[in-house]
Amino acid sequence: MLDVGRMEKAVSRRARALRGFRVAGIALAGAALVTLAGACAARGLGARPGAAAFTAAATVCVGASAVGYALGRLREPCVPDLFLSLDLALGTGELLCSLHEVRARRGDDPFRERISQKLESAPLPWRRVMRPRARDLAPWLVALFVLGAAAAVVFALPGGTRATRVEEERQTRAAASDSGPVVRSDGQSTREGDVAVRADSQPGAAPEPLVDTLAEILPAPPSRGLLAGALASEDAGAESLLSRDAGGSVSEFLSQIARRAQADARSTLTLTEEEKEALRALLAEMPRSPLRDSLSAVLESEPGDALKDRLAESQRLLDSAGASEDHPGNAGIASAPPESGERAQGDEPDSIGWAPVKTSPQGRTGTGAGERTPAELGNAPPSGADSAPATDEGGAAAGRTEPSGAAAALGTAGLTPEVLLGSLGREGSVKQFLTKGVPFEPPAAAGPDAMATSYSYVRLQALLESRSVAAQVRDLVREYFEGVTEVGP
Amino acid sequence: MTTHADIDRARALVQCLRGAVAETIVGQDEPIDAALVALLCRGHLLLEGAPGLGKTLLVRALAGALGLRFQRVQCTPDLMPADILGTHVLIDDLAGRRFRFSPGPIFAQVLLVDEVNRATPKTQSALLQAMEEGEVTVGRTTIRLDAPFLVLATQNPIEMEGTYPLPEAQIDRFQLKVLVGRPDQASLVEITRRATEENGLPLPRPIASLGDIQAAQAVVRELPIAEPLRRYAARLVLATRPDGAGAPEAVRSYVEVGASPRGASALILAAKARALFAGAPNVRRADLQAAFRPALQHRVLLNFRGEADGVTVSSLLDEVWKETPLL
Repeated sequence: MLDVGRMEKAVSRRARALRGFRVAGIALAGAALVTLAGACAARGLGARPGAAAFTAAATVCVGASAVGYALGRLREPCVPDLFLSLDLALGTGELLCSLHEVRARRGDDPFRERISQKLESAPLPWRRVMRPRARDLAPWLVALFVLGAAAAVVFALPGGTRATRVEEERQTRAAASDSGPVVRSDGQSTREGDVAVRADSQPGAAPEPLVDTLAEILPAPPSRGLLAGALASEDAGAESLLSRDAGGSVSEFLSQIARRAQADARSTLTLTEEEKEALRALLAEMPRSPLRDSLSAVLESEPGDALKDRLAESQRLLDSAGASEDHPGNAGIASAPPESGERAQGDEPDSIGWAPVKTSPQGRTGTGAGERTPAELGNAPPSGADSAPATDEGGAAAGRTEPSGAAAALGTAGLTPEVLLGSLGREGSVKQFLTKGVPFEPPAAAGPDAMATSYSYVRLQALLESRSVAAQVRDLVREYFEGVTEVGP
Repeated sequence: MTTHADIDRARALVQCLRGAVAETIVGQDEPIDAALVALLCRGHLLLEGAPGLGKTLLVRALAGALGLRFQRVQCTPDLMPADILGTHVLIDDLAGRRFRFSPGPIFAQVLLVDEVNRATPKTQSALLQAMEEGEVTVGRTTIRLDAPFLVLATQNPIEMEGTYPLPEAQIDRFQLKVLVGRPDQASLVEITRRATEENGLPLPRPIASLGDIQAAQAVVRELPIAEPLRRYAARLVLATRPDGAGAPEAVRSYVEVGASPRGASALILAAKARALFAGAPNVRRADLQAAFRPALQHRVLLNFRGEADGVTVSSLLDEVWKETPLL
């Protein structure tokens, strides 16, 4: 005969264990919530949890689970209800709870015997029924999820704690200290790492995959920092950024060499490897100009007097360019080139300046005599008559181009073409045709009057697809290249 | 003390009675089972249905199969309590003039009260003591009725004119109430065949003794019901009350009076009898479900709003069953 007493004990024991398991899960979930709150508070306060905090959190979680388990086991389950739930689960026709009901009857009670016989006639897999179910496991899952969230708050989420961010920035700077200087928008020489950090932390920064792609396809790739800055810049002209920053960096570089030469006047002046590297980086970011040529000569010149001469020449060219910018009457020269054949700064042949000229694809909006369409700028070689821009008071040239089919095509493509007219000392006028998001720098192999960029999108497409470039960015690149193709040389 | 043999005999008795009555009554299995349940539970049964559905015949067949003393009362508005209970009559013979009690039809073991709602409340109340306590008080004399005492009453729900609905106290005396439905086509064909071709409908011969019936009644009482199911039955009964715990919103809105404690007892007893019929050694939830509506539907009275909205007690009980959790 079925030993209902023993079965009752076993079922009760299992039920208490299950209840303890569930209550332990609930307690752990509560402790995990407390841990999460602590992690969020620590993140908000900028404190980095230490080992003691982790130990305390673990202790709280384990302790809560243990207490929950003990409390869950403490409560005696209602055995008839347990048996009824087993009956329902096993489909026994309420035999178990009825057997419990008649357990106190005499041994030969016919109903008790019949119930026992019925129960014994079929297996009773009650242990299989009394397993942790969803409601028992749910608190544990919640607890694990909350603990994971707490760990993510502390470790994984982008940005991390304030202390983490500071630490990351410090590490970034340390890593960048090995790389060459790049040009920053404020005109001060800095390290590439700084630009990278700034680009990451600013909204609207250029996507890294796009920067990589452009750096790869450009024949003379500029620095990543410059690319990132140029791509991220939507309002400020990239040309202005480069001209001013390059000038400042060159100035600082030359000053640094001069100071070193003065400090160690007895020895032969020579460039260190680090200085050469920095100079190469500067050259890579500079447009073709006498100053750039002079600096290239500095790089290749022999130590000693030849080097000093080259440096002096470079300094002179730089000073003349700076004077043209600082001249009050020529305030526009820094941003607008003189007419072809004229000098923006008197007879100074090495003046350099850039003038961003907006072109509206929708219609004629400018009045400058030298306005040119992008097609003209792209296809026609510069000459004195062709490239004569409208001259304002300061002799600077600025104007708006006539809308042409190419410009209209650009407008249709959603691009805003910008025309940059510049003069490069003795080499005459140079035209740059830029659109937003395009690296300012012309390819090194191109001539001074060549188009800055004109690449086939087909070539680029494979690159874009091989990288994790967002679709939106990919479309932007495609639209750009489609637009450029129509007006390119 | 119940034995295995008692259980087996009780079950066999039920099967035999069911078969014997079914030979006379066609297509009325539920009223037959309800009558047997009422018999084995020492209760009483109220049959409600249109005329001509075989209510009276069913009672007569059951009484014939039981071999018990059978009496019939046809209720009318001018029926007096004495016409049921009996009365003292003046006897004037050689021994002199004296009063002698002449027992009424209530002194039977199976009493058919036909169209009980046509009797006045005063007459109806004459049944109260007999149905609940199994005895009758006439004058200053209380007389014990012979066991078993089974009242099978019928009422016609259609002809309401000149009727007196049973008061709550009276209707609560009935353990079960069954709605006698109309037979289907096959049953109707069989009924017409028996009624038109045979020489009258044969009533069953007695197949049970008084001892068998009382033993079966004892078996039903001893049949176990688990404590959770007992609590479940109590919750079901409470849920029929508008102020009861766990009552559905419909019950709160449409019920004037819910089931009484007597209803809970009737439910559990009926479930036990159903379990015995099914050969189960214990009461199951299915037995409670089978007994739920017959045991409670006449104990739930609708309020004015419920009557006006056309709510039926059956639908309310269905909702109570669905809304009441087993655990």
